[in-house]
Amino acid sequence: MDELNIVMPPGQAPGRSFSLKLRSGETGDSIMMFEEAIPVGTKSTFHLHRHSDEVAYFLSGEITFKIGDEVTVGGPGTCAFMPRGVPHAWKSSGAKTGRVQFLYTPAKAGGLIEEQQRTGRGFASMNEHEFDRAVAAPRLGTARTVAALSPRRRRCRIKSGRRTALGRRLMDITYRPAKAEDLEEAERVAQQSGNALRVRHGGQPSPAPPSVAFPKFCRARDPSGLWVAEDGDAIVGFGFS
Amino acid sequence: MAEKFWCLSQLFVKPEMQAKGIGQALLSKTLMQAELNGAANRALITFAYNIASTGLYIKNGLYPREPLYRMAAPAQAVAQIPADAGCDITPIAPRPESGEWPAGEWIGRIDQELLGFRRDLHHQFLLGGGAARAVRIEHAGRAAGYAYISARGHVGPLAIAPGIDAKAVVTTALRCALEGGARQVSLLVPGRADVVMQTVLALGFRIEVPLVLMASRPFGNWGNYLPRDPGFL
Repeated sequence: MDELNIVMPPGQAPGRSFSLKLRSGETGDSIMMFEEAIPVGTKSTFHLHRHSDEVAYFLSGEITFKIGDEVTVGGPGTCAFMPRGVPHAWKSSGAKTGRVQFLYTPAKAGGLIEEQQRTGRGFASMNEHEFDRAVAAPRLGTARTVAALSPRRRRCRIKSGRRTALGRRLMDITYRPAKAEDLEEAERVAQQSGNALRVRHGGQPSPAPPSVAFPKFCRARDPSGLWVAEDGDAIVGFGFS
Repeated sequence: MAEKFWCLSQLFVKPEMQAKGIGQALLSKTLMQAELNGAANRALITFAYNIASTGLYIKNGLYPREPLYRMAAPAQAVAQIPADAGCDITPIAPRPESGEWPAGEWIGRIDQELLGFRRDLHHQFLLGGGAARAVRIEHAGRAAGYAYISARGHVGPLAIAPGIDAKAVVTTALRCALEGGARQVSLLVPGRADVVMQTVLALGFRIEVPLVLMASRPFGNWGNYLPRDPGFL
């Protein structure tokens, strides 16, 4: 079976390229599979496929996936399953171009990629409506999350920090979505960090950490905005939105 | 909070771990939520003297839009406000998990006018125990604004409907804060809220902390809206 590489026209989606592995016509419309190179920062719309299940297998780089309400960061070896009807989106969130193998079954949802091959049109030249129509993906409100990711790979190790002139070791910081049991420890970090700042500017230290009530409320509704940074088992920073 | 308006509630890094790129990495992760939800604007409130975080936010496309001051006074300073401060108050009924929420109509209208969007989930949080007290402020029989008051005497968010006497609304809210028995009364006053600023200074309030509202795009009628705190617009 011949391999067909499609490279996006310059200026549309620089560096983004597809390599078709299995076309629908070659599998009796059962499976469509392609490999995609996803430059840093590239993202999809939040969409769903009504008639096809989708599998993404991460070969390299770091991809952040939102499947239903769940957000997961994956590195090489992670496998994500996106059942038909469940809205999802992804973004290449690592420091270098990611490579992901995508598979649709039945092959119907892969029609867009095959259509691009046929017409030479890129994602960026399609408007959102055309994109959605092409992948038969009307927007939905909510859907039950059925995301299955390799437990071993749920965490993504990211190198952070720089080697200093004194040869200090590179820190190995882990970034992951906040769990309910992280909130109190995170707010103690807020107290410690906020107090250092307040005292430095002539203010009074706060005697208690901030309340976990609002982060807890936000997490229950959309956990994708709450992240923690860990050094070993200790939370060293967090961002909640 | 997942709405068309995205707001960063908190971002902190341990002091000894700062300036190593952790804040940027965490901000990028949280901003993914805004991107995935198609947020039309992004905003946050930070300490004005935190120049490191201010720079980080500017680098990520959120710019300083409005100075804010946390102002406080001992309870006795507020006690001089006459009992009839010019407006009437009625409690706001909590928003039910499902079904009709009658107060949502006028509250949503005020938020739409002042902020440019509704924020039903924020009200649901505040009315569901996030604030000790929630009051509708009325002037001549019509909704003049709303105020939430914490058990520790902090007022906010406080909304003043356009065209209403801001002094009457803020003094009414401060009286409510006093009734809770707190030893201190405080609020967050935007720089543009000149009438509110003069009113509370005259009562003996002093600036405690300078803050700044940062956002991707300008928004909000800050002469009429007082956010609650840096973590909650």
